[in-house]
Amino acid sequence: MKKNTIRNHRTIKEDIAIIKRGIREFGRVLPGQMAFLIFRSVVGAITPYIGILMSALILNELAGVQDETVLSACILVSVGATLLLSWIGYRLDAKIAVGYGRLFSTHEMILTDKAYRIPFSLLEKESTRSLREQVSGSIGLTGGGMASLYWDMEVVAKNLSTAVIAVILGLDFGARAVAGVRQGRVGAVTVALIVFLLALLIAAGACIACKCASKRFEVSFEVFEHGAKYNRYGEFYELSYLPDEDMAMDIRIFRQKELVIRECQQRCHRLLAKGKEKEMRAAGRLDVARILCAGFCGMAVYAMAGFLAIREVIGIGNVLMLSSTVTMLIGALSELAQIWTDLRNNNVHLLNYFRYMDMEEESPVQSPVQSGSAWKEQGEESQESLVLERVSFCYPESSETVLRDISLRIAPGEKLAIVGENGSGKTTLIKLICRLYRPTEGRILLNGEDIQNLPYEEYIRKIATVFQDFSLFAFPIAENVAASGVYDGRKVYEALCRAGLQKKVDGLAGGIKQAVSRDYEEDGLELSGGEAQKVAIARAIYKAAPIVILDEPAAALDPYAEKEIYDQFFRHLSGETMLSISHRLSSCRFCDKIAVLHGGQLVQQGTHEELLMQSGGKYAQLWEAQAQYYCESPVTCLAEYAQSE
Amino acid sequence: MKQYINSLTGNFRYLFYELRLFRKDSVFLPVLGSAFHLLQSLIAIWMPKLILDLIERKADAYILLRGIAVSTILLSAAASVNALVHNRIDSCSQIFLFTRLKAKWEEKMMELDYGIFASPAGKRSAEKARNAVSSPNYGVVTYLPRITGLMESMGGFLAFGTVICRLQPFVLILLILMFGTQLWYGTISERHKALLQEERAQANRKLNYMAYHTKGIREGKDIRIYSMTGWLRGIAGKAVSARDRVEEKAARQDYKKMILNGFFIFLRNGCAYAYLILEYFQGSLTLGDFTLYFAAITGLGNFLSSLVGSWSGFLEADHYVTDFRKFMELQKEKDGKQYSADRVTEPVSFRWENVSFSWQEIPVLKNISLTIKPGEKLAIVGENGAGKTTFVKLLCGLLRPAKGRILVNGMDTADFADEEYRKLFSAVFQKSGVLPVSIRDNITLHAGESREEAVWSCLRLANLEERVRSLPEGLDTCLVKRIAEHGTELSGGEVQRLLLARALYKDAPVLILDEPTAALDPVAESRIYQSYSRLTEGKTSVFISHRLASTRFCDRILVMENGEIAESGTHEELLGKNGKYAEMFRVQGRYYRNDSGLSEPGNAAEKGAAEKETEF
Repeated sequence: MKKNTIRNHRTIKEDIAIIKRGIREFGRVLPGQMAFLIFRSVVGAITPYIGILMSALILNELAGVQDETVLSACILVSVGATLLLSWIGYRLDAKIAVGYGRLFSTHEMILTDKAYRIPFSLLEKESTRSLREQVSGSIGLTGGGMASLYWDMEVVAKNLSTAVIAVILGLDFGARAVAGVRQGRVGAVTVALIVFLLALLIAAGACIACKCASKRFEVSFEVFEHGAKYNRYGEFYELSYLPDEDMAMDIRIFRQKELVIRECQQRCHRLLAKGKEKEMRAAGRLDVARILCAGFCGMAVYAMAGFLAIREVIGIGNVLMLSSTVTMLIGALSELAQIWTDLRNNNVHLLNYFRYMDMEEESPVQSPVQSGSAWKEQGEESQESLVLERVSFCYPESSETVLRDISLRIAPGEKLAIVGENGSGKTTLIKLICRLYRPTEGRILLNGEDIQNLPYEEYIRKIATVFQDFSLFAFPIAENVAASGVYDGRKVYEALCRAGLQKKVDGLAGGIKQAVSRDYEEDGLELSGGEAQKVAIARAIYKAAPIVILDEPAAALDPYAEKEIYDQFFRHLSGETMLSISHRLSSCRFCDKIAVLHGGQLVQQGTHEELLMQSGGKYAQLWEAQAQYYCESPVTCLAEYAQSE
Repeated sequence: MKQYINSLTGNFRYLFYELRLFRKDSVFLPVLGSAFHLLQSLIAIWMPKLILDLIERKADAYILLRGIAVSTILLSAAASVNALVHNRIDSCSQIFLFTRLKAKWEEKMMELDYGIFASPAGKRSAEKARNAVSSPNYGVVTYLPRITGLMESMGGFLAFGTVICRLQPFVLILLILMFGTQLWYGTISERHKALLQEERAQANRKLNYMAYHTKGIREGKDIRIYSMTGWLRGIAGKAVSARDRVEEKAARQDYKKMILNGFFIFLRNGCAYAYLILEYFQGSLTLGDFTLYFAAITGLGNFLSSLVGSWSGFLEADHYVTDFRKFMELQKEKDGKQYSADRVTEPVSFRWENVSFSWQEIPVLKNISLTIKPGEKLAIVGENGAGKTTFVKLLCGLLRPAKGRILVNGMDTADFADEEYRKLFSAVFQKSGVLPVSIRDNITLHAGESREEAVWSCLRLANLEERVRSLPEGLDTCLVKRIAEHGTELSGGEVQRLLLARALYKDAPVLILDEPTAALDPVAESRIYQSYSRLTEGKTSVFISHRLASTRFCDRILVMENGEIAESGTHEELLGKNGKYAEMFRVQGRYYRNDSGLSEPGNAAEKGAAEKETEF
């Protein structure tokens, strides 16, 4: 035990506080279930005692008076009470089964719901992700954390009640012994000695069992601690890498078989097997020690009880009762000790859970105090101007400046293209404008107001973004487009048409109500990458926000689809302000203005023609890299340009 | 029925064969385990009888003590051995799972014929097999413990039955009748539950989707921008309550069954008490006998109900073995005495003769005939779904033609062992990925010697040398941070370059590049194109791209449309033909040329519409 306190650096008091909080929070995971479970365990603990007690009475009666009414009463009470208790137990079981089956999934959903509320800048942090994985993993892989707490409380309740009843029955034994002394059947010293020996036996038995148990838990804790790390490898190969159709091609072409098997074995399976073996060996030793200890105690109890029975201090039935009661008491005490170790070990996981759940949340309304009125007056206008004032940014906990001193003005209704090489900060800039992050320095102004001061919901309503790594959910297309369960069917259809999905949607049996992917509905449809991207675009169209942001909207599309999207999308743009990022510079020609980012700095801005004229500029360089293949020769291409200007 | 038994014995033989290969002694564990379990339970009901009899006879202290000592020692010994054997059974099964079964599954996943692997049936089988060996708590791992449990229940039933028969055979018959009724009702209740199965599976699938597919992290940006929280919470709430409703129905069936169960226990114990008391009054029993028989009757009842439990438990484990075995029996790739790769001399040429291919009964490639000359650089362009990727899969022998044949240097590819044939190819596929191993291993891939120099020169060619040199651990840097503890994350473009280096390292006579530049910016893309001819020097190569720009480096361009070759020729030839290719080129390149006269979006749209009209 001492070792344990050293390991987890917590006092017993702190541990109890954690467990208490865990029990409180469990109510959020499965409301009411903890109470059912505890009640069930108490009922379960009482049931065997009825048999034990009544058998003893029956045996005593048979050995003694043999009164038939007493015997029948005993039988009736015995079987009747057992029946009643088992029925209550089954009723509770039915209730528990319903909740129990979704403990893991509900737990996961609570974590997901929390993820909705964590500010994005925190959510995207590696530490948050790994914390989340840790919390999910501790319950999913080993049933730690909340699951362990739940099961442990069952054991605690059951064994506590068992122990309490055993003590009560022990009092009955004491009373009989005292009566025996009074009647002179046995000497007071003998009885005192026997009672003392019994107490000693119980204490020793419980101690030894508990010692073995804590030893075993130490081993399994150690195994578990590393297990999560190993499992990450195992899960990667088993769940993502090997079942993947595309990876399967790699595996076969490059003959990765030996490497992958070696990796799986060395980094996961063999280590887990070794841990299991260690754990099982400890468990085996513990079992034998417990059995031998229980055997010895049983022997001693039988001997003493037999002696008392022969002296007629206790009835012959009480011999069996005493022996079972003592065995059960020792068992209960050792299990309690064991579960206590387990609970304390489990607190590591509970603390992780709390740490995750305690993470800062986005306050739903950020006080619009100073600016509320001015904002609302302009709010109804569809044209918005966006100004970046000397914006710099570096990701939290990173020293690398991703954006440096960017000042940019996007006039109402202007179409701006942002171009640049990989890693030049384009996507980060979008994230700042979407208020997923706050600029480290400088401000972003919407119609003259710092966006950080605008009510979040209001601001977000004005923005529709198609992210490069957009996500759709396996629900009906219409709900995906509307991002809501309630939608205007006609508007959804129009948005889908504009995104170039008219043919696809018209061909669907379920129309816009057909689910995307088969993960949720069995008759869902599998969309190709390009089609999914079009749905994401339709979602942005449906939102009809005054500011539209596109992050590589055509990356997954073939040239035809790309053309279609651009044509459709741009034809319907009217007053919206638009920002778009694309690797394909061709899309820039639609835009009023182009901003060129390089190494986090705004190196050029202007129209396509202006920028091309700045020969040697970044834009001209990028343009040439792509355009050369489409013109008869790069040189003539640029020359043609110069001419046309 | 016969088939059923065949499957049972087949599974038994399969698993025990594998177990014997793993550890010889493991085969005997179930017999040992059940024997000691039986011994323990017999001693456990005999011991109280012995002691009570001694007390009742007021035996002298020494004899009483001796009786107690002998019986407890025997009991403890039997229980200890029993515990040890069971412990061994569990640990043996688990280690067997981790070191053998999982490795077998992984190996099979990589050896499976690709066509089967990618088919829905193959995927289903693979997933079932994975599930069967995924956990140390359920699946194939339970086979050995469950079979032991089954033997224990049967042995216990026989032994306790014999004890009771000594008292009164009629009691045994009564107990069996009672048990029969319970069983009968149990099957009815199971049938009711089976009706719910579909509904349950559906409800659980939805719940699992909400719990495990959407974690709110990857989707975080969209959720925030489109204020989806309310919508998602609503769906989650519905999924939970729908699942609870159906689970409540299932639990109600169980509850009814248990109510009956409880009632039978009531009857059994009541009758047993009454009968045994009457016998005792008649003087035919001692108090010890009374406890012995009572314990035997309740014990028999327990063994009977555990018999059902252990039988269905065994069947469950058996199902998992079936899932696993079926997967393991799927068609492996071809190997054996066929041609080896040495027969193919470089540079390689191919001839396709009337090749057709269907996937899931939908024709993907239709009657394709074509020759790829030795050392030719071939480009394939076409819309999504035109059959480009399938073409490549057939070329590298991942899929086999349904009709027609593919010849390599004049030899039918069907005559090659799959693994041998694939030695001819190196590739960067569209969605290739890296492994959480060192950069070196990611490039050399199969275990064994690595040629340091070659690795560096491939990195240089792929334009990644500088980056790798700048890493503190160089080639030993582990990749994929989310899995490897001290891993480094490469950007999308860097990954693609690493994959290119990997493909170059293999140095196979045929190089396939499927959209290798999608994640690259224009400058990096252009750099790759410029070095393309150097990368493919002396090799036959196939290049797939959406960006027609890249195809200009190739000797010949194939335009695929609806599974057929619509056009083929050099860039200039195809432009001259003014067909599909020229049209695609126009569409894609028009923004790069000034002749389109577009600068206003409005114009672009009009022009686009106009073009469309003239097309049709």
